[in-house]
Amino acid sequence: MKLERLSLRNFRQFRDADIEFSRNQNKNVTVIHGQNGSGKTTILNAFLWVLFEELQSIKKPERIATQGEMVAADVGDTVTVEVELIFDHEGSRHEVRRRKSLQKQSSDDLEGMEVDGSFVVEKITEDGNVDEPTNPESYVRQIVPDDLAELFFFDGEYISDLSGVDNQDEIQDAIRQMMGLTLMERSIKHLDWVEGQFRDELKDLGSEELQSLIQERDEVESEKEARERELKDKTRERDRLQEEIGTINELLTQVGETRELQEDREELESDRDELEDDVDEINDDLDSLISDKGFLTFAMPAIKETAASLDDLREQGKIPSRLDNEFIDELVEQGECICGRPLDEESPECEAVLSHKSDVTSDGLDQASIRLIDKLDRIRSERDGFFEKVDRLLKRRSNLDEDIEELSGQIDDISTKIQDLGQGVDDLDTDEVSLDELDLDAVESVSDLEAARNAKDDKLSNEIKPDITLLEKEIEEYKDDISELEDKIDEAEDEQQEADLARKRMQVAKAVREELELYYEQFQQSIRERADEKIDQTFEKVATKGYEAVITDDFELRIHDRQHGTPIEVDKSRGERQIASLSFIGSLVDIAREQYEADRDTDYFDGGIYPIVMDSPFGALDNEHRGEVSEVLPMLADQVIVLVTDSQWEGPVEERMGPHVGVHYDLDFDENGGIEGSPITDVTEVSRHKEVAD
Amino acid sequence: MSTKARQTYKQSEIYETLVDEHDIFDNYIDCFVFAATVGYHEGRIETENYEGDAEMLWMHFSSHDLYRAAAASIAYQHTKNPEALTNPELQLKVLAKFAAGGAEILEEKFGDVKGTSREGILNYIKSHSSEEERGRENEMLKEIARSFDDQMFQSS
Repeated sequence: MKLERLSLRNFRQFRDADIEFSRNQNKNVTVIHGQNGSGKTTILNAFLWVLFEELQSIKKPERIATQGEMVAADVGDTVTVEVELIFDHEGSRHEVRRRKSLQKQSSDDLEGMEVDGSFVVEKITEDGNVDEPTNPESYVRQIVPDDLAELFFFDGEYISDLSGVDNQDEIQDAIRQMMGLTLMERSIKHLDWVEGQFRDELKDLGSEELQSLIQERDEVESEKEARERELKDKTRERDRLQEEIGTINELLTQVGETRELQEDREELESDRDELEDDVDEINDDLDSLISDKGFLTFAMPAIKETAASLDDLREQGKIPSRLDNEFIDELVEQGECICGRPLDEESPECEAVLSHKSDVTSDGLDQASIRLIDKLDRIRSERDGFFEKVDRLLKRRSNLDEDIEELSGQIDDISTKIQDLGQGVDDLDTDEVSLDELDLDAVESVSDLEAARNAKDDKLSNEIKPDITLLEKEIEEYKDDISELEDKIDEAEDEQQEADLARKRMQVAKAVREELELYYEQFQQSIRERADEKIDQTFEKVATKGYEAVITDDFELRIHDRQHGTPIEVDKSRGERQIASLSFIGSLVDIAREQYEADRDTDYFDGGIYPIVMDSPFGALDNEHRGEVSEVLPMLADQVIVLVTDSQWEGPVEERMGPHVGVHYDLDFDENGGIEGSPITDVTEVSRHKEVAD
Repeated sequence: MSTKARQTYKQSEIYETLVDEHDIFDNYIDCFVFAATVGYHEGRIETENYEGDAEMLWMHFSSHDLYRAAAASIAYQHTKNPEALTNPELQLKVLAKFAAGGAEILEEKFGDVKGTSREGILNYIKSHSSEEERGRENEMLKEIARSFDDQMFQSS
């Protein structure tokens, strides 16, 4: 940051002033002379105000506008205050402008009420492009951290406090901020927070639920597999029984007198199967009727009452107020009115319906009413249809049941007849049939075969087949349960993955934090040593022999008795404290410049070029120290601006600093020279060195 | 008419019994409407605990104009608010409340039935509608439809 020009318009006692700073490398000092009360501190504040909208150590800070302008303004008029600072920063010209419009509220109002304001930063690059940062306040703070602003734009009265015991926090903060330590500290703190966040996340994403779900799924899966094994056994048994019955049937057809009976039985059984299929079909139809139309019986009271209510509204003339055009178009398109009358094109009925079309959109109630009334016939018919169909189906099913029962009776009769035959089985060709396969020990007659057949059929129908149905159902239910559990497991596994990720992230955050803490310790130490060395070098040049300035391990600025190596508390009145402070500030600016120019590769501290702007910095120093400081300061910073009284300047300061001065300004203060006798300060350029002028 | 209306409802175990196990109802929508009409008819409504994980979408009623007629009528009778005739959200909400009550009745009557509850449900329906009563209702509905019809033609 290299200052070029400061312009003030209606800012305190400066109605219209411009100060162009020396930027010459050899003549890098700009001196602004002014007597006490002439506005030196106001100029220092102009820097703070334009950059940070702050004012310090100034009387009546609420009075920003020039008093004369406020006095001259009528009530309701506005006075515009503006400060502009132009400087170079990293190869680009920056124009920073803060403006406030203050409206006079009463005849004796000298403060005004802010009615408008702006803060603009324009960055003009070397090739002439102008950029306006979207967040100018933040942008300026990146160039000059506001924590450090008090060091670069300092008040001499305040500066002597820097090396006092009570102000060490500012020293520590300044060093940390300047060297990038605060950034590292924030990073460490943030990483610690991140680690905690992931730890909390881990707690929420525990794996107990997943384990429990997997165990439950395994148990259900095991149950399902057991049922499946059982089903397999039952299915085999069913197939075996059916095969055995088929074999017995075959055997029975081999015996003369049973052949015909067996063939009749097979036919009857086939008929019965068909009838049973018909019954199943009827049951399906009944189910469909219940599903589709069963509700109508229970909904009918509501429909009936609603229709009656709508009819009342109709009688009262409240509906239909108008009809929905779209609905009428639909009726005409369908060719049928809601009452069922045909709506032939151009017929009187059609014209009558079309006449209900309105230019006004229906509010919905009419439409809903008409639609419900339109459904009444269908609701009636569907409800009646439901009972008619149910009755018809039930009657038919009853008939079928009777037929099935009769067929079953005939089948039973045949069985009895076969058993009663008592015929031997000599004709049977049992060679091809193993009795073992039929679970029979011996077959002496067809009645034995029939009894065996009946037993197998009984087992098949009353035991095995129901078991199979039940098992199939249970297996389906287990499958549903498993599917549901697997969905939950998937969800839990997603959470588990998140937990694993959180654990890894926590470990990484911890590792990075620990590394950073280690590096921070080392970096802090090197920074302290560097600051300590630089400050002591500076201090040594200007301070009384026997003393040294030290940056302690705790980043405190202390003055030591060099001879005894012990810290001493120097009296406040002693110049050493002010010298130490000036040394400290100058050293920091110098370190930042060295770092910037060296272009060292550290992510935390790039360094930078900073000016030193000092208001009355020599107040507490004796002539000897004034001279020493004046010689050293121009060497520590690229640019030095000093605001001094003539008495502070004359003598050793002028003698030692004079050769470095590029521009002299005078602050001409006139207590009654402004508008209507108000105080005013003019800024006059007294001299400009020819090197600077060039 | 909004087709995006939706309402969560309590899908108790009887839904699974009647839809999946007994195969009486083709789907959960039919069972929901049946339960709602039963609840309304029997005056059993669940005003607090009627919502659940299942969701009923108005779009399911799009091809069932009689479901829409029943929903509008029940909602209107319950609220006595004409808006109920045109507001699908309100209709679904009222149905969900009655469905929760109706499902309790169905659970009580058919929850423990082994095999099928077909015969029981048929008898239950039949017990709530005599032929004589249906005749009277039909006459009344015919008369209302005719009155609307006449007014429509007379006013032209």
